[in-house]
Amino acid sequence: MLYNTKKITTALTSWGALYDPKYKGQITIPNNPIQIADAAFYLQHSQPDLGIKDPYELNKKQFDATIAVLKDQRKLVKLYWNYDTDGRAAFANGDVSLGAIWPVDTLALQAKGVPVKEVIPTVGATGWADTWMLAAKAPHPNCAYEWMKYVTTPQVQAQQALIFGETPVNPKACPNMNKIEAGSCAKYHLNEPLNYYNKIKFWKTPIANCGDGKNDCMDYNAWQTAWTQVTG
Amino acid sequence: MTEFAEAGASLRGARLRLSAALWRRPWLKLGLLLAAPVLVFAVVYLGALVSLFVSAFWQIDSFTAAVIHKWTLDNFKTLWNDHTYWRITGRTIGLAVTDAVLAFPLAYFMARIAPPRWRALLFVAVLLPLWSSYLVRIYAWRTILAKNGALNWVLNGLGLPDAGLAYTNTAMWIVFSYVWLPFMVLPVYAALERIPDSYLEASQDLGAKGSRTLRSVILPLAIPGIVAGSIFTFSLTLGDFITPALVGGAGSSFIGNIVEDKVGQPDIPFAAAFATVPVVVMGIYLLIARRLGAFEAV
Repeated sequence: MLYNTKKITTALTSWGALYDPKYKGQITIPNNPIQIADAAFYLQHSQPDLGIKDPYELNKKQFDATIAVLKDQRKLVKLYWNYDTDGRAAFANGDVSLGAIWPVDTLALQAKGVPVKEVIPTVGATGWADTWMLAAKAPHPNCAYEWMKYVTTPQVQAQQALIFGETPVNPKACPNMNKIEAGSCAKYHLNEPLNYYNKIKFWKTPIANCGDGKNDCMDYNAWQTAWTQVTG
Repeated sequence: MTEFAEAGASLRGARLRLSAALWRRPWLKLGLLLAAPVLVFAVVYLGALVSLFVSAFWQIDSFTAAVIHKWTLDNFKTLWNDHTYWRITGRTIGLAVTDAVLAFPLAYFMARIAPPRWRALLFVAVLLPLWSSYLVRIYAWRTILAKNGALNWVLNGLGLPDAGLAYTNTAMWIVFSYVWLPFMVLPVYAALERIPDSYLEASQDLGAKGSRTLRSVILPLAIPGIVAGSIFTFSLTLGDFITPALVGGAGSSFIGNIVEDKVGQPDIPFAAAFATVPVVVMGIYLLIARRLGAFEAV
């Protein structure tokens, strides 16, 4: 969660801010069906009696409650950003002062001198991991292994993290990152303790079978349809 | 020598026979002439449309997003029953109609009132935007309309409050009107210019006021131009997704945006089903235009 400290002077600490009518017309939210999980995660803590355990596994009742919250939120939203650079521009131009956006955008905005502050509420946040993929039937498996070994070395991890603006997976990349750009290891949260990562609910595809044997969860098709109804 | 002469003669004979055959069968000549373009048209253009319509009747697997080739009307049922899609279609058509309206007064001024030198200047002004990329112009509008952009800077300088147009449907309407203006102005101009002055004088002599002349003389004669221009702007607006994505805000989605979202998700069958809506709308519009006599030569 990111907010403009000049426009919003009270320190924000909870996801509730993104659903607060006080900030009507100042909010930006990513335009992506997986964003439903953010609202579900908010409800998981603000309305425990709904019984949400995992924001990516929602039964009909939990899902409907989440969509209702999102439909209310839509009235407050100025912009559903498609590319993070659009959300970034809206912050920079002063069109929005509060929203959900990626940590890399915080860094970019702060580098431009925009007075913004990033908050991860104590309950945690949703997040995602980008993945390298290897072809299952690679014609030269040894080369594939060599390549895998190469991209996970601290030096390559550090370079890739700084070019792409993401936290690398290899914690040993920390000194390499600092060597390329002083202080970048802390900036990209690579030196955080393990409970920092444990608080991130990583994206996964919602499916009907969510482990309780009842097959009653809403699948990703339902998520997509509902997201269009919310934003369209 | 004679061998060559004979060969030449037989070649000439063959050519003569061929041309005679073609002359006797005009349809063959026409067929040969048109075969290549018709083939390209059928394969590339109609082929794409047919595959669009066909895939609109398929479904996808909700986990792998693989297309399931099973015939179903579910996509169309969803489109019909979910008022979200009605809302989006209405918004798209509404904007397409209103952004065509602006052009008429400008074209009228250019064709009938402006002195020749003005006319040349106005032509340049109308055509100038076409010389730069559509994307660049939309981004330019975004910086103009932004909260700390050029528009609010001017307004604040005059002691007025912020316009607050960024990321709204009004912003979208302004930008659409701007980017499609040349496509509407030019056909309308051409139609208006062709109306002889004597018609207007005759209308005046018969006692008609300005508004009556506009309604009964100018508009009916300008209809072919208006229809031609609106066909361009309608089809361009109905298919657009970049302008709503860049200058629109929450609640600015167009048919094109939903199609793009669905292609990205990927739910190609649903995208195909929604993409048939503009085709149907344009079909209906063209039928109405024909009823109004827009395609008859004046």
